[in-house]
Amino acid sequence: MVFIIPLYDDIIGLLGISVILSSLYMQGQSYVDPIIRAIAIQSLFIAILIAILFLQNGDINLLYLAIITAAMRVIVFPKIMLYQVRHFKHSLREKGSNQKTPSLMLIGIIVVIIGYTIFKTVLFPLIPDTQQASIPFILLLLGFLLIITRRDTLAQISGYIQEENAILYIGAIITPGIQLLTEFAVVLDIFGVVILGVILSKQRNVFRTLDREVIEQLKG
Amino acid sequence: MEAKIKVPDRFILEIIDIIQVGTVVLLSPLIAGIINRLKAMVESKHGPSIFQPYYDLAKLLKKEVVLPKRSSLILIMAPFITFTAYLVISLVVPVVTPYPLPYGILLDLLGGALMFGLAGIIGIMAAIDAHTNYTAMGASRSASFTALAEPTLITIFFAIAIITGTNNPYVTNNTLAISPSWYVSATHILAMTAFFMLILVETGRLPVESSGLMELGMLDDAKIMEYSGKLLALSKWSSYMRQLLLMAIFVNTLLIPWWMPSEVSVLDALYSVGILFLKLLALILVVVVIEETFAKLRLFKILDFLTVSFSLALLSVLSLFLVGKGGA
Repeated sequence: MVFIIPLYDDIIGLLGISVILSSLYMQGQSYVDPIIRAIAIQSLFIAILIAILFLQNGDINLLYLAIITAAMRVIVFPKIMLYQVRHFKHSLREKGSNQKTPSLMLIGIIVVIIGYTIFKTVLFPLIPDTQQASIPFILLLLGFLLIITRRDTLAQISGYIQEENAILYIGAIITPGIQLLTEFAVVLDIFGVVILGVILSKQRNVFRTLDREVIEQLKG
Repeated sequence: MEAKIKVPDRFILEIIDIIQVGTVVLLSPLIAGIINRLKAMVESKHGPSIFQPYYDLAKLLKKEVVLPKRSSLILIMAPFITFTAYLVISLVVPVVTPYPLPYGILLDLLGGALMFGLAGIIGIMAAIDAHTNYTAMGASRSASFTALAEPTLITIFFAIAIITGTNNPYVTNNTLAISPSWYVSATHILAMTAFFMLILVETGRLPVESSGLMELGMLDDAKIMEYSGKLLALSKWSSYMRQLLLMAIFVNTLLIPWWMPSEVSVLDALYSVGILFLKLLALILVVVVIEETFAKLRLFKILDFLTVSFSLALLSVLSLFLVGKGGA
C-alpha cells in the first residue's frame, strides 16, 4: 500500500522545522508545564512524520513505530510528568538564573547554526543524500542545551526525551527498512523514563522536593 | 512558437495607478472603522459606525491648527512628508494588480521598508520637536522598539529574496501564487508568521498595543499628542494608510497571493479592489480574534515579543539550509 503524497518533500521539511521550533519554544519557557506540553507536541510532529513515511514507503514497521510513538511520547510520558507537577506542588517556575529566557531562545538559534555547520562539515560526507538528517542532529544539541540550562528535574527529563526523539527521528529518516535501531530507541526511552520515574518518586518521598540541589548534599 | 505580448496602453496603466492610490487613500479609514466596530461587537457593545474615522477626519479638517510655541517647521512639515511617503509606497506595492504599474520600478521591498522607515523617523523627529514630555517619551519608546523591529523586517526580506531570487514584491506574489511547493515551505510559513507579528507591532494591536492614551503603554498616540486640526487629521490618516498598506502587502504577497486578475484593464482593477477588500476582511477577523483573546503585554515584554519574531525570521532563512529548497 503506497500513496503518492503531493508536496511530500515540503511537508517533511515543514514537520522537521516544526520540531526545531517546538524545541526553541521549550528553550524560551521559564515554567515547567509548557515545556512538558511542548515535548508532547514535538513527539506528535515526529509521529506524524513517521506516519507520512509509512504512507510513502508502505513499510508496516513504520506504522507500528508511529503508533508506539504517539501512544508513549505524546500521551503516557507527558501525563506522568504533568501528574508529578500537579500532585507534588512542584515549583512551576525555574529558580535563579533563567529569568531571561528569550535570550536563551536566541542562544538556541545560535546552536542551530553551529549544529548545522558541524553536520555539514563532519557528518554530511558520511550520510549521503539526506539533507534533512541535520535536523535530528541539531535537535540532539538543543536537548543538551535544555538539560544544561535548567536545574529542574522535569525540564531535564524533557531534554532527555528530546534527545530520544532525535534518535528516533534520525533512525526513521536515514534507515528506511531497518527500524531496529529506532525500536531500540523506543525501548531505551521507556527504560529511561521508568527508571527516572522511580528515582523521582523516591526523591520526592525522601526530600519533599525535585530540586537537584538536595541530591548534591549526598556528595562525599 | 511565437509569443504574442500585447503592450498595454500607458493611459490605462495610469488610470489603474489612480485606482490603486485612491483605494489606499479612501479605503484605509474604512478598514480602521471596521476593526473598531468588530471589536465593539465582540465585546457586546454597539460601537461606533464603521464610517466614524471619515467623520473624525472631516471634523478635524475643519478645525484650526494650534501649535506649541517652541516648535519649529519640522512639526508642521512632518504630517505632509509622512502622508506623501505612504502615497509613494501605494504606487509601488501590489495592492490591486499582480503586475507592476509604471512607477513600480521606483522601489523594491527593501526600498518600501526604507520608505516606511523614513515616515517613522520623521514622526519621531516631529515628536521631539514638539518639546513636551509625553511626545518625547513616545519618541524614545518608538525608537527603541523600531530598532528591534527593523532587523526582523530585513531578515524577512532576506527570506523572501531567497524564495524568489529578487526583492520585487510582484515576483514574490507570482512565485507563491503558482508554486504550492513554495507556499507550504517552512521558509515561507515562518517568514509569514514573523511578518504577521510585525504587523501587530506596527499597527499597534494587542498584545502589543501601542495606540491609545493609556499613559503606561502609550507609544504611537503619544507622538501625535501636540497636533491639532488639519495636521492631526493628516497624521491620523497617515496611520490608517500605513495600516492598510502593511495589511495589503501581507495578504497580497505572502498570505493569499491568488485571485488577482492579471488582465490589464480598468474593470479588472476595480474588481480587484473588491477582492482585496474581502482578503482584508479575512485578515481583520483574525486580528480581532487575537485582540480579544490576548492580554496586553507589559511594555518591556514587547522586547520579548520582538525577539520571538526575530527568531522566527532567522529560522525562516535557516530552514532553507536545513530542509533544502522547495520545488519549482
